[in-house]
Amino acid sequence: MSAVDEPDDLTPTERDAALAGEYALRLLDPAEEAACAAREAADPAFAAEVARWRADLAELDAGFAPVAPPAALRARIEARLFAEPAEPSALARLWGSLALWRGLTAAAAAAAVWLAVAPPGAAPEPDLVAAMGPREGGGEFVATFDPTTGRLVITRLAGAADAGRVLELWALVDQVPVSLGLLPDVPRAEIELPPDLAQRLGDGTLVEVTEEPEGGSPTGGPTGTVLALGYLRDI
Amino acid sequence: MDQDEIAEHLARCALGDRAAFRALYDGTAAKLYGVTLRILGGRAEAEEALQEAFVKIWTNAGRYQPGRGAAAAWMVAIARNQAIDALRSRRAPSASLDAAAEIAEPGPGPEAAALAADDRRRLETCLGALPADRAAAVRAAYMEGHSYEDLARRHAVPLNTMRTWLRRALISLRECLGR
Repeated sequence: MSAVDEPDDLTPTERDAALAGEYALRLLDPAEEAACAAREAADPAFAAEVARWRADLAELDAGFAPVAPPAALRARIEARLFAEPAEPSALARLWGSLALWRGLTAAAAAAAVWLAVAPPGAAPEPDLVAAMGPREGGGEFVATFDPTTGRLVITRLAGAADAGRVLELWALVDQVPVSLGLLPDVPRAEIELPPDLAQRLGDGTLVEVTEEPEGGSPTGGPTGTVLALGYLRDI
Repeated sequence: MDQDEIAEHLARCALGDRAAFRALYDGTAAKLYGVTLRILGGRAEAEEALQEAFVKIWTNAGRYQPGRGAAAAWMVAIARNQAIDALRSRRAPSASLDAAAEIAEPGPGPEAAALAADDRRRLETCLGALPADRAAAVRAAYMEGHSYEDLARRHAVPLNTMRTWLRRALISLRECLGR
């Protein structure tokens, strides 16, 4: 179908309000929808009109009665989203031997006993570790973090930024991604976190590495491909 | 799952938290399946659309902005758009509207979001003020995914007649709802 061409007595404001409603309801044919989508992206006033319609119409959502989907569906969706890599990665092999870390912790504990009588100033052992496994960007990192000093050491096992891009480390703090800093292009980097940030990272904190434009994310949140992701864990 | 919980789980999904996705699915899948089933009618197609919707929700979770409208409405909009795309591609294989569907995020401005809480029954009130047949057409477009083409066929009138008729109803509705 084509747009209504016949003259009508609508003002331009009324015509836009109606068009935004038609678009939000999805009454239009594909060509008109595509034109509205382009206009929504380019024209903030029209986009706001569409957003108002969507917000108002969402009141009707209450009318959709919930129906339990088949139990097997969740597994199908997860299999599609989270297909495991075909062969175990370097990180999986390393992390697979969790005993290694536990052993290190036992050694650290033994060292701590020894340090108790040793002169102060000896470097403390990190007590949180994140094994960051590959996501779309195909990176693998291990981070160790000592909350008392705020010292974070990140080791790169795989993954690099494209030319003209940089890697940025993030943590999810109170549901908000917080940048922990840009990673220099070296296999092993140290980041000193300010105390107020350091004390907000703990067991279970989600950390990830993304690829961002030079100078870091322009928005304050991750914008680029996720290379690797994991959780800080007490060891 | 309430709005805050959904928003929190979306934030975790944006960072790739699979456990959060599972919890989000468990808390919302029945509602979204209700949406795709209502629009598509058949279980197989509705399941397929639900699957696609959750793939989009996972992929686009970072695009949800908590200040810009209810989290549940954002998810329902994705499921509804997915189901309508499937409905229309049955008839016209070329009518894929992936781009439009992805832009289709409900996002009232901060003022509108603040108002929304007070005006929960505002749309119903305003629909009630329209002639019954027009209110029914608006409802059918939203709940069943009917296009102008579908509505014209159902009411056995030319498409442009249907459009002129419903456009006036939408203008009245917008006036009643306010800006």
